[in-house]
Amino acid sequence: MWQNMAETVSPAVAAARSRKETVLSRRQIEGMIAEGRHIFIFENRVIKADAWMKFHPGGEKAIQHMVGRDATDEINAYAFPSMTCSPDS
Amino acid sequence: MLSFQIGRIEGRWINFLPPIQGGRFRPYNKDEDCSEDFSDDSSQESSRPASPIFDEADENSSVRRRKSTSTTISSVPSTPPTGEKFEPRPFFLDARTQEEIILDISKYPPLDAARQESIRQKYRALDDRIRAEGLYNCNYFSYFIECCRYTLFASLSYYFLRLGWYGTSAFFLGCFWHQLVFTAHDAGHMGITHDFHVDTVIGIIIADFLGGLSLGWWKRNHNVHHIVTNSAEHDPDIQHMPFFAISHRFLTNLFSTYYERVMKFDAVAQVMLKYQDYLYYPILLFGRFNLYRLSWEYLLLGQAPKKGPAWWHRWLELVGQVFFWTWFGYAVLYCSIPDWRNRVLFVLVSHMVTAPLHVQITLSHFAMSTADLGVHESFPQRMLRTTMDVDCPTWLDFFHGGLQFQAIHHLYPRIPRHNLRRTQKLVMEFCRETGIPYAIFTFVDGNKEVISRLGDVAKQVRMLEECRKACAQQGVFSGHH
Repeated sequence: MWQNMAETVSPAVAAARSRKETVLSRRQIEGMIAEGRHIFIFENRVIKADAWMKFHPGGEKAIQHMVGRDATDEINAYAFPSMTCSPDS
Repeated sequence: MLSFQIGRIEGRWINFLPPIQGGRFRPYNKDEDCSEDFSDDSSQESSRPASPIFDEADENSSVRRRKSTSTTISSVPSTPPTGEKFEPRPFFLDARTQEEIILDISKYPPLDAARQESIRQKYRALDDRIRAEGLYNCNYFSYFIECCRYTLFASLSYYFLRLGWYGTSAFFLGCFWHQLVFTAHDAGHMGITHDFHVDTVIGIIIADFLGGLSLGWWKRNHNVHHIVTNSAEHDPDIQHMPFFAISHRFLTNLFSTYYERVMKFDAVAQVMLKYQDYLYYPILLFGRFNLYRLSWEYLLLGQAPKKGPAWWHRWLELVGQVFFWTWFGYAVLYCSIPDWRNRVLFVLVSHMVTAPLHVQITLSHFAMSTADLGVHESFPQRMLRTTMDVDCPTWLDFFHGGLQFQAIHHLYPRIPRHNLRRTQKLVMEFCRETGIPYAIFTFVDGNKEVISRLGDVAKQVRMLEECRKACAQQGVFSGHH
C-alpha cells in the first residue's frame, strides 16, 4: 500500500500524507457535511468526494446516498478495483 | 479515489443519515468539546430527523408534501414535526408503514451495533472465501456458449426476414434482445473481464449498438438501485408511477430523489393502480419502449459524466444509437419490410417478446420488503431483506440469465454470472450462520407473490378512495391525528 512506498518523498507529498493521517472526530465530519461536503468512510479513511463526484462513472446519486456513512462494503462490491487500490487514481 | 482522503477515523463508525435521505447535520464549532462524540448518542440522533423523507431537504418546492410518517425505526412512534405544514392523511397508511417495519424487525437479526458488525465481518470473510475458491474468475467458455445462442437467434431472425416471415423474424429478434441484455448486465457490473474499459465497451456494443438502449443510463440507475434497494423514495427500480406501486407509500405523492420530482398520485394513477394486479403483464409487454425513453433522456439531456474515466462513453453511446437506428430502423424496418402493417407488427412482436425480461427484473424485488430499517442496518442484511432468488433447474439458467440469483448478485455484484449457482451454496451457509432468512421462490410462486403484493396495494387504493368519499360527504378528515 501507499504507506510503504519509497522513503524519499517531496515535502508536499509528505504533507499530504500527514494530512491523510489526521484523525477526524465524528463531530468534525458532521460539521463538514453540514457545510455541504460529500464525505464518506472507506476502510477507516475519511474520503471527501466533492472533486470526484462529477467524474464518477456510476453517477453522482450513488455517492450522495453514501454521504456520512461507512461505504466500505458498497465500494468493494461495486466500484472498480483500480479505484480502491492505487494511491492516486 | 484514495487521493481524496482527508483523514482517518478511529473506532467503529456510526452512520449518519445522508443529506439526500433527509439527514440533518449541525455545523461544527472549533471551540466545542468533541470528547463526547462517540459516547453521546444525541449527536447521532440530531442528524437523524424524525422523518427520513428527504423532501424536507429542499424547501423551494411547494408541491412537496410534508410527511409525518417515518420508515425508520428511529421515530417510532411517529409524530408530525412541529411547525411544519402537515397534510392530514388517512391514518391506516402510517399504521401500515409501522407494521411493516415491526414485521421486518421480528423476522431479521436485531439492528444493534454488535450484531450488525458481526454480520459485516462474516460477509467480508465470505468474500475472501469466494475469491479463494476462484468464483470471481470468469468462465469464458460459458460466454462462448452464450455467443453461440445469440448468433443462432440473430441468424434465425435474418433468415425469416429474407423469407418474408416477418412475425417469426421479429420473434427471434426479440429472443436475441432478451438474451443479450443479461450479458450487458454482466458487463455493466464489470463481471466479465473485471476491466472497467473492456467491460464497458462490451456493454455499450450490446446495449447501444445492438439493442438501441443506453448502458450509461442503466449504470446510473442500477448503482442507486443496488445501494438503496427497494426504498420507495430512492430506488428508481420500484418507482413506476402511475403504473405500479408496490408500497402504500406511493399513495402519498412521494418525492423521488432519483428523478428529483414528485411521483404524483393523480387521477391516472388512481385508476391504473386500482387494477395494477391485472395490468401487470399487459403493461410489461411495453416495457422495452420505456427503456428507449429513459435511455434517450439520459443521453440527450447530458446526464452522463462529461469528465473522468467515463467521459467518452456518452459519445460512443451516441454513435451506438445512430448505428442501431440505421440497422434496425432503416435496413430492417424500412428497407426489408414492404408495408406499414408488417412494420408495425414487426416492432410490436420483437419488443413484446422481451416482456419476460421485465417480469424477471421486477420479480426479485417487487414481492420483497420496502421498509427502511435505517442507516444502522448492514449492507448484506439490507440486500437479503429486499431481494429474493428464483429457484430453477440448471438447464434453465440461460433463460433467467443470472437474474435468478439476484440476492447473491446483490451481495457480490462482480461475481460472473456463471459462478452464481456455486456461490449460492456459500451464501445459504452465511444466511444460516447469521440468522438472516434467505428468500427463494419458484418462478411461478414468485409471480404469485408479486401479483398478490400488487393486489394488496390496489386494495389500499380502493380503501383510500372510500375514505376520501366519506370525507367529502362528512366534510371532515377521517384520518386526522
